[in-house]
Amino acid sequence: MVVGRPLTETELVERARGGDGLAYAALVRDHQEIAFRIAYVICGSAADAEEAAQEAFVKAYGALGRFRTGEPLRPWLLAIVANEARNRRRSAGRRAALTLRAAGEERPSGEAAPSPEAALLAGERREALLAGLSRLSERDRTVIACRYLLELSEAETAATLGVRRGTVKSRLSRALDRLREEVGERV
Amino acid sequence: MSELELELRALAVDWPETPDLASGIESRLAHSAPAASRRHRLLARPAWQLAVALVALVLAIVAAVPPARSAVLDLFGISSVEVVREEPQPSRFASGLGLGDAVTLSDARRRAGFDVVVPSAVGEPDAVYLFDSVEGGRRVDFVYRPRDGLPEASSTGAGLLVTQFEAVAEPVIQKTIGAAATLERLTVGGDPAFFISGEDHGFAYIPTRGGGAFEPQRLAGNTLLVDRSDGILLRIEGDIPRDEAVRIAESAEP
Repeated sequence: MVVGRPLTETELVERARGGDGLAYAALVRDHQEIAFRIAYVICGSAADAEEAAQEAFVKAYGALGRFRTGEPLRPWLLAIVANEARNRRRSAGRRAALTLRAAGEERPSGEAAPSPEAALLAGERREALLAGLSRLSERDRTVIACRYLLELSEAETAATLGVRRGTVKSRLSRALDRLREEVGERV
Repeated sequence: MSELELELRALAVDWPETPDLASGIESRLAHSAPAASRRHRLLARPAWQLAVALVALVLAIVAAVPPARSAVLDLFGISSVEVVREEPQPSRFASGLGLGDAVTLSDARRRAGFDVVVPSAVGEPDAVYLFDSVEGGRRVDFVYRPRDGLPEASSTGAGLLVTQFEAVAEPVIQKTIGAAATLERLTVGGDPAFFISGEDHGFAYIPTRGGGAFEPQRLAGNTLLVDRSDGILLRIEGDIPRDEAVRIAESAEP
């Protein structure tokens, strides 16, 4: 479709429901990055994450008839992705160990550039945090990744993980305690 | 928020590159069931047709009020081309090509109201038609006789049919494409384009300033649609491969 302005998500969903594959592809494009990253955190390997996310998007297309118009699409999609990723992880014979690396630059904080020593220490700290996160159970690292690395809201995290918001709070608090233990901090 | 939480939030993770899932999905969906769940599919089809009918009705009403028209077209997300997947209905295709009056090329250039483009790759057309209704939009059709490289197309009987619309005036075009036809997204000369192939598909058009009535649909063969930045919508139809249609479209100049 060639249109004069970008369609809203609701319009794209309506079109996709009518069988418009292009409209659905546009929705996938909007959400594929976060979907892939959640699948990556759960599966632990990029190849499995790609297959899980792909399969989840195809399933979501088939299930669009059950999506309630007006609700936000992202948590609905992410719940399907997370479910697919967990199924894939369960059925995979070997479990890939998740490796999360820190990007070279810290997110801009508006502060002055740190000294080389401080930057080195900060870099080590970042790698230690991510290595600790990688060693956590899938359940613990997923809730942390959703809330802090992917910056989903509490409500979105709850929808993605298929639990209540209260459960997100308690699960997150326990996961943070375990991460502190992993990186050698006193709880 | 604890210091650990702040640290986690500040972490920039070097994520693996996100694969282009959208493209893969697009090709997979071409071979899968429509979006509506099986339970709802029978219901979904009539509802969709009702929606199309409602849009057409609203367009018909607002077409009489020009300032409202573009706003409403915008509301529906339609400014020039809309491609809708829907099975063509053969009973509606009996009206021939629906061409306008036979004119000369210079007549067409003078009366079209836009810069008529001629694809130099195939030269000047064998016949030119101008569709010029009083209240409707204008449309120019070029017909090329079958010849070497332009085999006779079953849908038109011609070697090539080249159609141009005045897209500045926001014509609304609806192509109806059966499930067996494939739709490819292309760029032609930097402009968005679509190539529809594989199986005959329906073709319908609402005149810009017309009463909002659809023209009769007819089956169309391989078709390339180019939404040109100069405001012209170029449509090339013939029993020719995609790359040849693209080459012809790229050669189109005033």
